[in-house]
Amino acid sequence: MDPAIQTHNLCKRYASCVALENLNLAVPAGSVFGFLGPNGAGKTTTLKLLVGLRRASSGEAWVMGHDVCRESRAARSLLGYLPESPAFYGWMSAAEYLRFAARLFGLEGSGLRLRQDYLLDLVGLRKARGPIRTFSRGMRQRLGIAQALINNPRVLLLDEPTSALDPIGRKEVLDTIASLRGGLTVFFSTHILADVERVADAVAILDQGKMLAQESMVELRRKHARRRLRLTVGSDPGELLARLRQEPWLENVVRQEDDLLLHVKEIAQAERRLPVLVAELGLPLRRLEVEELSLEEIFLEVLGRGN
Amino acid sequence: MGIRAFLDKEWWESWRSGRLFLLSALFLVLGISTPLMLKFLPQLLPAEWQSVLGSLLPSSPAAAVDSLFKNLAQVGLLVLVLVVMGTVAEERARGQLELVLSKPVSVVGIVWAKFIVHAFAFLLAVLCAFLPFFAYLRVLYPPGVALLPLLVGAGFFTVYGLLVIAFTLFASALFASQVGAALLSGGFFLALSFLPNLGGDFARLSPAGLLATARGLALGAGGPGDGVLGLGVAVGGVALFLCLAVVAMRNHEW
Repeated sequence: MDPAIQTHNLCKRYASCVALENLNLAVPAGSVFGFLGPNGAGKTTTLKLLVGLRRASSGEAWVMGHDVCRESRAARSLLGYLPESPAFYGWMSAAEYLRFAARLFGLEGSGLRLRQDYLLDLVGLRKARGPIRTFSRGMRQRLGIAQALINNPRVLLLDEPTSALDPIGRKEVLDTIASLRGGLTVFFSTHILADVERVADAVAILDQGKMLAQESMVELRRKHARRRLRLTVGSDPGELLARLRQEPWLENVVRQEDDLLLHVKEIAQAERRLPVLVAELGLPLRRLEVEELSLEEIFLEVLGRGN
Repeated sequence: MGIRAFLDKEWWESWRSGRLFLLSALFLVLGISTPLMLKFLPQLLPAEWQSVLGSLLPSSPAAAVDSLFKNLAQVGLLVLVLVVMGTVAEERARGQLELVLSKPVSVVGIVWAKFIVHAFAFLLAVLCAFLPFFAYLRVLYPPGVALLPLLVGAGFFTVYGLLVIAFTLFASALFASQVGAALLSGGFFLALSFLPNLGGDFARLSPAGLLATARGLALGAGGPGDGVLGLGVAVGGVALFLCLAVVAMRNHEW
């Protein structure tokens, strides 16, 4: 299946800096894709390039096969977009804004009313009657999602959809994103790892304009989690530490209270060799387990800022 | 796609914010107060001042027409710039246009919609000034002035106003701040208003010369043919500045 979003050597340079450097991205259709990176990594720039709000310095990007530069309008007609801080016309009500947004897509008629009501229900704003200027941040964010869905998009682009929300607002937005799984492709940028962990099927990690990783969540965990072991022995591991440092499969070892945390190059070899070493030194083996890395640790490791 | 939606939005925004009526109210006040002031101000002043004022401000229909055009060109057009200056800059600064432009709408449609609604509001304001002015003039200075020449003069003034709107829209699309847009517009029209003073072709071709033509036409002096060149330049200027506004918006990175 063709990717819903694809970029080829996408670059964005400003006078003083490179915001994005040779981004090659392929977002599978129907996935919830997390676009992860620290602040200033180039996430918002990427989203704006995909929407056609900014022009790439070089490279190409496609949304559902449409070139976002040459076929910008066709691409935008298949997109829903939520900026980080959506700004609405404050004098309109939520329903009025949705109608306005729908008409910008050329949607009219009775079906529009049904769609508007459905979306207001989906984001919990059916009873919000006042003008948008009286809405809380969370309500605006939810209205932002509703307006992004008004055209029944094939691809939904969300820029930091939860970054400024309280825990309840965050949960509501993430639940809404999760409920969209399968129906359309959701591409959302964030620096909140827990959000990605909770809803994303796949992830790309960006730092200083460069993409450092692009994997499915399962693959990302498999790649990184299978390289760390926790070993606990019943007595002082000093001699064991010295022996371990001579082993070619070991990357490094850290002592954490009674445990030894081993980062290894080859997990199978380590799993075979460790019990032998412990037995040779006559130490009681209490625990030996392959440890799962948290997404935060994987993120820091990919960024090269881990231990 | 979406032009009608944006046009409706501009219309309702003008209506609900009162922007539509602000200009009309001001023009109405100018249209009514100008003949009233000319007629009654001398009577309200002490006798020794009346002769001085009488020589400065002759009380006649022609003087009233002259005074109305001056007031509208100075105060009216200044307020018009203030009303239009934020039309793009403000929405851009707030981020509202970013959300609109993420949808398959054309920038041309947005610029057109804004221009049409401002032009309509201005036309309404011009009528609010000239129709009561005509009625008051008939009462205060019978038989007043003929309606048709006055309306032709008002039409010329409207074309000049459309040029103000188009240029201010362009300035608003060019600058991120309303103040920048206002300063550019103010500077441009100050320069434009000096052009007729240079005489010759400048006087004939300058859109600002339209104001003098409009005054003359309103008083029944000369024919519409007098201002055709200036009118052509003004209409061309409207088209040019609207195109430049589109280019400025297209080149902007949101």
